[in-house]
Amino acid sequence: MSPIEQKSVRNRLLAALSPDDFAVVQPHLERVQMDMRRITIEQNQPITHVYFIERGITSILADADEGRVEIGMIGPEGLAGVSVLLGVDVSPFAFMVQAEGEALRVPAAAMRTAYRQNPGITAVIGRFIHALMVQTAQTAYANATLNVEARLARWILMTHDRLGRDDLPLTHDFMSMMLAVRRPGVTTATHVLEGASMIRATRGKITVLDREKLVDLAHNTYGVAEAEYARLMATG
Amino acid sequence: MAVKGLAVGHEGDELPNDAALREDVVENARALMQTRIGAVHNWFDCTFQVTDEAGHLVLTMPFSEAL
Repeated sequence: MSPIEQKSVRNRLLAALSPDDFAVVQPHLERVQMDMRRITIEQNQPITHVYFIERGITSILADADEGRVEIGMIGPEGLAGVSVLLGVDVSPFAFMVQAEGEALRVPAAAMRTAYRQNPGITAVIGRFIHALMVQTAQTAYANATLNVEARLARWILMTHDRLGRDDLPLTHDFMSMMLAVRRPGVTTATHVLEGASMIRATRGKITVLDREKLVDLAHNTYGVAEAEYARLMATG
Repeated sequence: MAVKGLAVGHEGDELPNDAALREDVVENARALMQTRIGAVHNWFDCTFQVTDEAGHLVLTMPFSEAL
């Protein structure tokens, strides 16, 4: 199998590394399919690999009374499994594929060594870890202050950002799990967004029609984490 | 924003009988009333409807009956 070249990667963290830093990680990269609902990191189990997302989305899930609730979302802008870089072998949260795609995975021990021994890698991934913390904080803020329609608007925007297309393959059942709201609640919220011409909803699919209206509805819970990531990645 | 018309969900559940259906609707209606949905100002103006796979209406329940 030919080595994975930096110019071909879609993951923004890998793309942001200097050629020398990328060369440190390159021998360990393994391309893997990310099938829908695959659990890549099990809750409270040793993390064997970290995953640079190439296409699709992985969700960080916490256990809630009625199942699992999403507390973080990682797409091609990021890396799943950063705990191991911070010296922690297990996560209290599960990581599940919420939109299928591909990832480049690296064994946990190899990535930890690369992260610790190469300041350039530490800098790039450290910025992402900060951005992920900001995103998680914004999710807590959204969950505490917003109604379901606004939370759904924010979640659709975040999904839209990561998939990079207007048609999003989303069932009400799946959105219900991600937002920890019973399915009729998602159905009602979807109807509200559709009534305001923000989206079009068909069976198993949401089409984004008007991002500006969705951003307005999500208030300032959307945009802060995104701006922080853009600012940090622009610092080089 | 206010919600208007019928919010349709196509993803169903299989339930064994009418009693189980009614119980499920009551549970879902109660959960909806406890959910922060800004567009619904008065749940007592709303009705929960259930159809079978063919689209035939099998149950209509005003939210007031779910209390």
